[in-house]
Amino acid sequence: MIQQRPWTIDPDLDVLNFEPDDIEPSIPLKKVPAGDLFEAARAGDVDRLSYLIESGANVNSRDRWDSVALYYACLAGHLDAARLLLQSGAICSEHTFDGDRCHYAALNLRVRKLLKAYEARPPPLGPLQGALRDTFLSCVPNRDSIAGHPLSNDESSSHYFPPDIVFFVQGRPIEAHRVILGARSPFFKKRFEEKWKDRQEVRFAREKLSYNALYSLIHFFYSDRLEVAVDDMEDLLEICKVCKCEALRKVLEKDIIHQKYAEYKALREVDNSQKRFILQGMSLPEQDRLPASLQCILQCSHLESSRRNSDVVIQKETWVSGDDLADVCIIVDQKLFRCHQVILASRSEYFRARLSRMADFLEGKDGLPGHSLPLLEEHDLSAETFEKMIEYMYTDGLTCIDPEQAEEIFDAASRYLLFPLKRAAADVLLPHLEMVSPAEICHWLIISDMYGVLKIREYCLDSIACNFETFANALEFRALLLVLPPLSGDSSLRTTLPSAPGAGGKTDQANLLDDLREKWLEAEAAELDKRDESAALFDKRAKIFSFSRSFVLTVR
Amino acid sequence: MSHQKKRAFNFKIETFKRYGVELDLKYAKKTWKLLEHAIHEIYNHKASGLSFEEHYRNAYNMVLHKYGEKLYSGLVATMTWHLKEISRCIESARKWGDHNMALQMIRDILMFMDRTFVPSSHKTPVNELGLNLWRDNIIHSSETQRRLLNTLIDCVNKERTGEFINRGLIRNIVKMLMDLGPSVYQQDFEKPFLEVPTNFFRAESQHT
Repeated sequence: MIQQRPWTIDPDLDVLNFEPDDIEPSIPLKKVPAGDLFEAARAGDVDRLSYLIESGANVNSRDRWDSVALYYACLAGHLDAARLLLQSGAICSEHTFDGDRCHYAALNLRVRKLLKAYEARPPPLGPLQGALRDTFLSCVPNRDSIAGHPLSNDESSSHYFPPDIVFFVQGRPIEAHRVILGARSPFFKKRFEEKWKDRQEVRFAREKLSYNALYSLIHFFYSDRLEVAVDDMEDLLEICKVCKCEALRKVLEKDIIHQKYAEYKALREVDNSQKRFILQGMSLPEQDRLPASLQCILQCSHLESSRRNSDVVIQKETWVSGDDLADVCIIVDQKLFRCHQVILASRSEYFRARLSRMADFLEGKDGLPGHSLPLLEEHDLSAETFEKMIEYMYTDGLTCIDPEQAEEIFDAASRYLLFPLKRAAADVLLPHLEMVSPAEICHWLIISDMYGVLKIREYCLDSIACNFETFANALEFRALLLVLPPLSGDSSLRTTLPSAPGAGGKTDQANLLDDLREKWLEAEAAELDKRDESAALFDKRAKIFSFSRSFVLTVR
Repeated sequence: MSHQKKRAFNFKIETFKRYGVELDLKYAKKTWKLLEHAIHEIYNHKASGLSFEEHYRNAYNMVLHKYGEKLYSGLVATMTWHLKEISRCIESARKWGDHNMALQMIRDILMFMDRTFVPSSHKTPVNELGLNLWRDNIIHSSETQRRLLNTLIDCVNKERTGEFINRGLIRNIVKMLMDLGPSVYQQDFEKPFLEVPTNFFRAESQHT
């Protein structure tokens, strides 16, 4: 007798491995040089997509059909585009309206698998939290405690910055940095100022102190994200009481009661060992989150610094360690800043290299042995800009910058490899650009192209393209055209990419004038033949300008 | 193209005065001289007299003003010159540690180029470049290659016959070959190395 099997999807399909040929699209992906987020996602134009995301587009925004960009990428089966969107924080949970549509629309199993892989993942951390978390996990003992952590060996070693304190709990080490613990907990701060001042390691003898609980707390201190097994919550609560982490303690207390009721209600015995409690920093009051804590430390350091700056000559005694836990002094423009190595190193690769190379090069040796701090000097930078920059490094926030100052901040962000700062500064600058003269727009276009500030560059190009006639008559715009490299004449398969190094584009292909042409055509909004006409018109005008270029040169 | 660029830079317009230094070609040349000097000093173990900040800033300014190509090709030329020097002296394999040390310092000074110019123009990252140059100039220079292999095989044979050898040296050399990439290890060492014991044990078996 033939047994009738119910029809099911072959479970093996889920792990089907495709040949590389199957993944490659049969026709080359379309490029949409001027498309918005949705067009780029639909076309699978990853370059354009990353450019838009970099310039600050919201990946979860909906278009007039109420669809998100991820929906289009899934529908068309563009894996790379979908992955990029997911990595940038696109929502894909099946329980949400947008996520459900993405799952439903997914072209094939590979797309579905990708969505599934990202579904369980918590939203991406902020730049500050992410950087500090990487530093924490780059310490080998800390990483080992998370089995199967995705960081590979070389990836994590590039974030490594040596710890200045090691705890031993139940015989297992946890490596940490004083300033982070001190900023988050009054208990640790007091200890580091007094009892543990010169200690390299602290051993906890008490059997009751749980390694897992302390590890989750310290991990929370760095990343603003708490992840703890439900079984360890009681232990964690005890530690919070000792460490005086009041906000966290309240949340935990509440939740432990919830857990108890859940156990009452459950008919069967609940196995808590698998369950984990996850808390995002966002659910705590603002003053208890990481940026606010570091802001406090920073203010404390500023106070110390300015107290010492008031001495006319900076004397050797002025950089002895104080109660702000600072471990390095930086002099900018003859002003002294007391800073914390681990934060500078986590945020900027430049400082990581510089601080760990102090012994190899000339710097940092002026400090006296004993209690004095190493001293570094930075040139070509104003003290105000440096102050803004470290404020950003500590808090991820940038407040009240002067438009005059923005250029210097772009320069600092580039030089110190602090790329997210460019975007933050661009956000502050952008409203100011709405009421400036054509001359100033030209100025900002040059600046933003040079430093790769995509958002500003895009805005300037848009504004020139939309008001082309006004600009064509402006002297500054003509002067600008004279210094730019001419049109490349090649408009096929090109996306708008800035020429600045580090902007993620191909430097050799970037051309401001080409991009302006593209924008102009977009503003004219003509299709097909009309578009060609417009393009010819633009080229003609550009030729006139370039004629005047050679004219000026011959005259010279 | 380069002509065009040069022209663009010589063209100064007062309204676009930039904060900091404006680099023209002359300045770029001067800056590169400073950096070249720094690389030499690093190879000569005199880095403790150099300012990290100053040289990083110089390299940053060069890349920012589109002289990345000049910086990169200059680096390749200078490093090749040093490795050629090293390959001439007798204990070149022992200089491996020095080269590695210098390479890391150079990489840190030129970090801005490594992060921005190198990926955008599809060049080899500085670290990898240093290893490749070492491989091409030292390991693959015919003289060294033969001597290195002979020494290694000789040492292993000596130990097989009961003599004392410098194991630390062997370990370092093999590690170096591994660091240079599995292909270097396989081609330059493993293949000939595996042929030798065949002969050795054949001879041994005929003795008894």
